Formats: sequence, C-alpha cells, structure tokens
Amino acid sequence: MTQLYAVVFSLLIILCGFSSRLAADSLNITLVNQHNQPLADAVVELIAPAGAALPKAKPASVAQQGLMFQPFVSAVVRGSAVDFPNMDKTRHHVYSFSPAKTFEIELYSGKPEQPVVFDKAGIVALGCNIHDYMQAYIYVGDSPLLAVSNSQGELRFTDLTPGDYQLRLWHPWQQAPAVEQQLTLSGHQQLQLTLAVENKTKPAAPKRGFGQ
Amino acid sequence: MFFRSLRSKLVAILVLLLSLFALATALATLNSMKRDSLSQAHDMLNVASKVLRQALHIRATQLSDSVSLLATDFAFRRAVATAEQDTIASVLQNHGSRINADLMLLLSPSGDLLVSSDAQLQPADITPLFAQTTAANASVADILSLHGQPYQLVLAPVRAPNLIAWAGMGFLLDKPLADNIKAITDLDISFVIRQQDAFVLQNSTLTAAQQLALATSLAQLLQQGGNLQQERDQDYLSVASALDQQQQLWAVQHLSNQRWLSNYQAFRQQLLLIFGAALALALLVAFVFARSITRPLDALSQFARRIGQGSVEPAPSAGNDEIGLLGRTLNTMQQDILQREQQLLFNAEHDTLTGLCNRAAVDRLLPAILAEQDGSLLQLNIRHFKQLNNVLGFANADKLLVQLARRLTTVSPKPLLLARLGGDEFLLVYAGLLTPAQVQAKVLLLSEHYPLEQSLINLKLCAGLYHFFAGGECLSDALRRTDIALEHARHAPQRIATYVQGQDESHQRELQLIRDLPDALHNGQFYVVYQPKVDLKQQQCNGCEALIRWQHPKLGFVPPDQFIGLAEHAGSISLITQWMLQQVCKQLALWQQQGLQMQVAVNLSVQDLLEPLLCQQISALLAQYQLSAASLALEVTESAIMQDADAVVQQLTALRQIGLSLAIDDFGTGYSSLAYLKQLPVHEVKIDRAFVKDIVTNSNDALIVSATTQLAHSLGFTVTAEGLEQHTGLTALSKCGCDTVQGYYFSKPLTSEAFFAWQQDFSKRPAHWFNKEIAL
Repeated sequence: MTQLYAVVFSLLIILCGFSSRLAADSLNITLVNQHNQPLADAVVELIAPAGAALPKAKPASVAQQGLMFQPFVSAVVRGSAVDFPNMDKTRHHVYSFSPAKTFEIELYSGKPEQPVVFDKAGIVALGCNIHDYMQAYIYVGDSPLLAVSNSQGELRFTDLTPGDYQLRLWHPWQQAPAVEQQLTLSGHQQLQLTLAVENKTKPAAPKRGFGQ
Repeated sequence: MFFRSLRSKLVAILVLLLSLFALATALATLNSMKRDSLSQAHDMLNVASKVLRQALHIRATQLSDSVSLLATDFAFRRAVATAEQDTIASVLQNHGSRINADLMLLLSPSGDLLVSSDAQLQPADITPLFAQTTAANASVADILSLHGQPYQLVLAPVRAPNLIAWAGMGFLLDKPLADNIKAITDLDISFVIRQQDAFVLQNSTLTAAQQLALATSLAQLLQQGGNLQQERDQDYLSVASALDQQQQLWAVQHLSNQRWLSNYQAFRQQLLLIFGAALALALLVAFVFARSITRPLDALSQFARRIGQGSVEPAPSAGNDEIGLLGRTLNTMQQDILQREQQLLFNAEHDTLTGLCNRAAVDRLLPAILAEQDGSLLQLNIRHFKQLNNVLGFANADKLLVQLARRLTTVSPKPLLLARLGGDEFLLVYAGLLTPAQVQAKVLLLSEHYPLEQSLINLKLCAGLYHFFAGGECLSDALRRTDIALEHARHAPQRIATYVQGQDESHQRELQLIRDLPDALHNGQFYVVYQPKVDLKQQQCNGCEALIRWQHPKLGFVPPDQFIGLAEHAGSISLITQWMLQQVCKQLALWQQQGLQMQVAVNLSVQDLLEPLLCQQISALLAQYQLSAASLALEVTESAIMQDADAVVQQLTALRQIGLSLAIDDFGTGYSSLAYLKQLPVHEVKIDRAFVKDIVTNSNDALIVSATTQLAHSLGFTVTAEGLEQHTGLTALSKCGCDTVQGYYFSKPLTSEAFFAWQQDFSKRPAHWFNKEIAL
C-alpha cells in the first residue's frame, strides 16, 4: 500500500507540474520498479473519455522465435486477433488456460491456420506444452490505448485527445494489482510511474539440451 | 589361621596374585572392549540413522520428481485449469494412482485446500508443508503425520504456465519402506507416531514380541529426544530420529545386542578360557614349587624333633640352598646339644669341687651294685668340719676337701663307687665285706698330714660301715643304715661303727614317736603323774613334781627320756610344755577344791624359756584357773640354762617377778660355773639323783651333797635332793642339810588320784617314813 501511495503521490506531483502549461496530444510515461530501476514489459492502458477519437486496433502477433515467445508481454484491445507465428524449426504447442481466453494451438509449425481472437478483457498467460519454460502474457484491454514499456521502462502515447483518462497499470510480476488512476491529459505530458514487482528474470531458452 | 602350611600359603598367594592380575586385566580389557563395541554400535546406529535420512531424502526427491512430472502433465494441468471439483478430483485420483500415491490433494496457489482424496484432511494439516513452498516455486517434500498416519507428502506446483495450483501427493511410510530401509541399513526399523500423548508403533521390521517389548519403553526413549538407549529387558539398542518438525513421527532403528556384543562375548569367552588355563597352570606350578620347598622343610622339621628326642643320626641331605644350610646348621646344633648334654650329665652327677660323684650319681649307680653283689658301704665324715671351716676359712677348707678327695681315689683297694654326699661326707662302695680293722687302717691313712698353708693338718674322720648283701637292700635303706652307723660312729671311741641289725628299727621308732606326738597330746595318750617332795624339817609334803607319761597305743609305754629328747630335737617340746601346764593348773584347781594345798613343779626346756610369751601364757593359765602364782613351780635343768644363759636368766627373772617358784633341776651334772649360779633368780636347787642314790655307801657323794647344800644355802636357795630310794639315805640327806627330798623312798610318781590318796596317808602318819629305824 505504501508503494501504491508513493505511485499516486509522485503522479500527482508530476501532473501538477505540467498540466497548466502544456497542450495535451501525447503522453510519455517512464516506469520504474520499487528500486527506481527502469521497468520493462509493463502495460499501461488508458481509458479514454467518451467521445474521444480512438486509434484502430493494430494487428498483433506473438511469435515463437528461438524457443521463446516474442514479445514477452503484448497488449491488445478486446476483440483483437493475434497471430502466433512459429519461427522455430521445432513445433510448438501454444496454449492458455487463462479465464480471459482459453485456447490451444496444438503442435504446429509456421503460421497457424487462424489467428486467435481475444474477445474478453483480462490477462492471458501463454505457455507451450512442449517447452514449459516458454511464457508470454497478452494483456487484453478494454481500450485500444495500450502501450508496453521498452527495456528503458519507457512508453509513449501520441495523438491523444485531451481530457480525463483512466490509467491502468499492469506487469506480470507485479506484487499487487495497481490501482486505477484518474488522469487529465492536455498537450504533451511526461509521467513517471512506479510499480513494485517481484525480482524475476524473463524466461529464456536453455542453452542446450531439452531443458526442464 | 586358614592357611596353616607354607605350601597352602604359597599356593594361595600365587593364585591370589594371578587372579587379581587376570581379573584386573580382564576387567580393563573387557570394559574397554565393551566400550568400544558399544561405541561401534553407536556409530553403526548413527550411520544407520543418517542412511535412513538419506534414504528418506532420496525417496522424497524421487517422489518430488514423480509428482513434479505429474504436475506438468498437460492433461492434468488442463483438468486442474477447469476448476471443476469433480474433474480435479478424478484427475488427482487418476494421476495419483500412476505413481502409487496414497493421498492426493490440490491446493490453491495461496494454500487453500481445494480437493483432497481424504475427506477428513484439514487445511491446517497441510499448512506446515505449504509454508515451505513460499520461497521457491519448486516442489517440496516432507514427512507429516496426517490424522494418525505417517506420510511422506510432496507438493508440486502446477503451472499453466504460471502457478495455478499445488498438487500434493502423500506416500505412507509403510512396511515395504521399512523393509527396504532395513535392507539398506541392515538394521531393524520401526516407525512410531505420536497420538495425543501416546506413541504408537506404526510399522516395524521387528518381531511381534520385540514390538511388544519396544512399546513399553518407547515413550521414555522418545521423551529423551531419541538418544541411543539400551534397555535391560530388551535385546537391542535403539536410536530414534524425528522425521517431522513437529516430532510427531519417529523412526526408531534397532541394533540387536547380539550383533554388537558377539565379538565382545567371544573375546570374554576366550579370556575366561585363558584365565582358567593360566590359573590351573599356576596352581600346578605353585603346588610343585611349594612342595619342593616344604618337603625338605618337613624332613628337617622331623629331624629337629628327633634331635629333641636325642637321636644321633645325621640330618637328611639337602642341596646347597638355604634349606641345605638349615640342614647343616641343624647338624651342628645336634653335635652341640650332644656335647652340652654330656656336660650337663657330668655336672649333674659330679661334685663341682672335688670332681667326685655326687648324691645323684649314687642314686643312679648304687642300686645296680646293691642288686648284684655283696659289699660294704663306708661313709666318712670329718668331725668338727664346721670348726675347721671357721678356723681355716672356706677356701682352705675346700682345699682340704679336695685333697681328701684326691687321697680317697688313691686308697686301695679301689672302691666301686666314690662319691661326696654332702659338705664333709663321703661314700665309698666296696665289693666284699670290710672289717672294722680294714676300715681303721684306711681311716688312719686318710686322716693324717694334709699340707695346708705350710702346715700339716690332721683330720678326725668318723666312719660308718654297713654290709649289704646281693639283692637284699633298697637304696634308701642301705644309705640310711650307713648313715645310722656313721651317727653311732660319732660317739664311738674309735670313731668307727658298723651298723648292727636293729639300729634302723629304733631309728624308725623315734621317727614314729616324733610323728605321732602332736596327735597323741589330744588323744589322751599322755597323762600326768606327780611325785611328792617331802619337807624334812616339817616332815610334810607341800609340793610335788609333775611328770609326763605316754602310753602309746602301738609302742606301749614310752619313757619320757626317749620322747622328751626327740621332741626337743623336733621342736615340738613347747607343745608338751603347754599341755603339761594346762593339765597341772587344771589339777591344782581341782585339788584346791578338794582342800589340798600343793605346789606343783613343771619342767621347762630351754626352748620354753626362750619363748618370749611364756610369762604371759602362764599368767593367763593361772588367771583362768584362779590359782595363785605360788602354787606353781618351774624346774629348769642346769644344762638348759647354760645354753643361752643371759636370755634364760632374763626369762627366769620375769617368771620370778610374777611370783612363781623356780628351781634348777639336775644340779651338779652340768658344767655350770658358780659365777652363773649366784646370778640365777631361783629359789631352789635340786641335786641330781646321781649324787643321792648312793649317798649312804659313797662318801664322796655325801661330801658333794653336803658341800652343794651349804653352797646353795649360803646363796639363799633351798635344796631338794632327788632320787632317794632307801630310808638310810634320808638320814644322810638330813645330815647334809637338805630341805626337801624326792624319791621312790617316799613314792614313785603317782596319778593325781593316787597322789591325793598318798598325800592324805602321809599327812596322817609322817612318822611312818621318818622314824623307820625307831619303828624297826
């Protein structure tokens, strides 16, 4: 909870600093963990005010490359179809038992016949039945305003209609769900968000052998 | 003492020492061995305990792997992901049976119990295990007690791919496991579970009986923290290890005592065997050794006893060791003892001064001579040797004795036996009968010319000769008779006397008289007679002399001169005097009652006069019978006075002072000087009968009596003449001036009654005695 307060507190300071002077058409957010280190793979979803112009959903895909899901975290708006192209020589058996979307693409190579449509908001944990260590997450959001932080912990929204937004923050390793925040956007805004996460490393393919 | 003999002591000491040594060694060794064995057993159990843990750990790993594998099964995960209770339950059942799990359950990622194959299972039961999963998302395994059953429980994460649940599989710690572990550790094992406060044996490889025994001590074992424990009533060692953190489950491993003790017991057996053999050997050696010592000792001991008995055989030969030395020492001792014995024997039978045989030798040697042959005993005595002693001194007198002894040995014929019997008495034993003449010749040879201090001394030797005949004499008779002969020789003119038959008998009679005298005084054998004393001028009888008489029951009448002399020698004269005084006083008192006034004279010996209490005794008697002192007169012989004149005079003076009349008896026969006479405090002298009895025919006697009477009168004494036998003497005595007369002419001594009668008669007609001539 203290971390949460810290996030909210820092957010408020930043908002106070920028809101009066700048016109809002873009939002840069920097994400750090509790140790103030850049936090990659964090998803920020903005719930736009009613009537705001929304971007179209972009086609998304989670590839299997080098015995890894690529990317580790994806964010798609509800109803999106996601491809799971297999770039590896081996076959994969991608599945999800997550309530948001339960599916299974049994042993396949190349591009599956059909993309998987995620029609329900939520978190989908992806796994490969053949390679247990392979993990990936798809954040299915209600809003198309979705971004995933890069390795510097940065993400950027452009062409935003100024107005009051709701901000949702998620990370697969988060220690606790982040509280939804109210955000009033106008002009360019710079924002730093802090989220406490567990100290983990992203799953990686084993160097050789069959792995665990 | 228990061990009396040296042998048993040696054996006992050796055996005791060996036993102690062996016991100490055995105890130390066995103790150490037992400790080692026990320590090995501990190690074994500790290793077994570790092996058990390792085995359980390996099993846990294997089970974990199995469960993990199961948890990654896609179908399983898919089924779990459905979140349908029934589906999950059946998939658990299905997959659990694949790995033979006894208990299947599913936990939510947060630890909530979702499904369990055991309906009774409570979420709390799993909590301890689930707590271990927080750190790692890997599977965990532990041993738990789940409502009374020991389980090895494994929790494995179910990932899809993130954690969606924990699959739990439980495996009972069952008999096959126990058997398996026993096969690895080679030790029996029991699984024990705590239920409330009791411990219940769950699975065990022990026999049923052993399990029963274990159950009793289980609680104690486990309450002690499972430390190693050896129960006396159990035949194994046990170590317990807690299997779970709550210490609800224990594995108890057992090591049979037989196993860890077998070496120890075998060794102990061996040690006992060695000890027994050593002890037997030691006994044998000790016995043989002791025997080798005690045997010669026994022989020497018996030899010593034989030495004591006078044996002359040499000591049993022995080696050169200490015992041999003892034997040689005993030999030397035997020689010394023999020498000493001979010396002692010689000393015992020889006179140290003269080297002649002594009395003891005579006692030993003479009986044989007496028995075998006729012969003579000649006993020599030096007259007045006591005086020689005084004159010459003891040393010179001894020299004289030595010279005499030397001369005795040269006299021929050589005597069969020559001995010195006492101070100055020598005994010579001859074969054949010596005549007095032969003896005379010998005595002459022996008497003269002893050179001593540049002068020649002649000895006066007395010789008593006794002839003995073969077999007729005993030693003491022969010696006594020789002695009697010598006694006679002392008084013989030639100083030689031969024993005459009968002398010994009179000697025996004297001995009997002396022996019988004290009793005779009390047995009425003695009696008193009274002889009147007649006053010539008054022609009256006013006094008498009391005389003692002895009628011996066997010997008949004993004359007083026999027994008085003997009594004086034997020292019993005072008994007689006392008796006489008593009798006389009694008689005096009686006569006084009868109206007879009489002065009675009693004779005293010198021994009586030397008795200091005499005066008091007489006073007491007079007082007892209420007599006046004047009625008693005492007569003392002249020779008695002369023996110790001063003391006697003193005594007489005292007697005179208490009023007694005193007279000198037998006057004229002694050797008294007139100087003494005038000092004597006496009233009267009695002239001895020797002068009186022939006074008529012997003018010398008459002269003596006359002179004596005049002398006595002039000294103030009255004079009594004794022994008047005829009337003619009476006139002569009257002419001589004698005052009183005593004698058979008037009367022989009379018994008291007769005397009384005579006195009555005399007082009536005194003229009958005095005027006989006239009457004639």
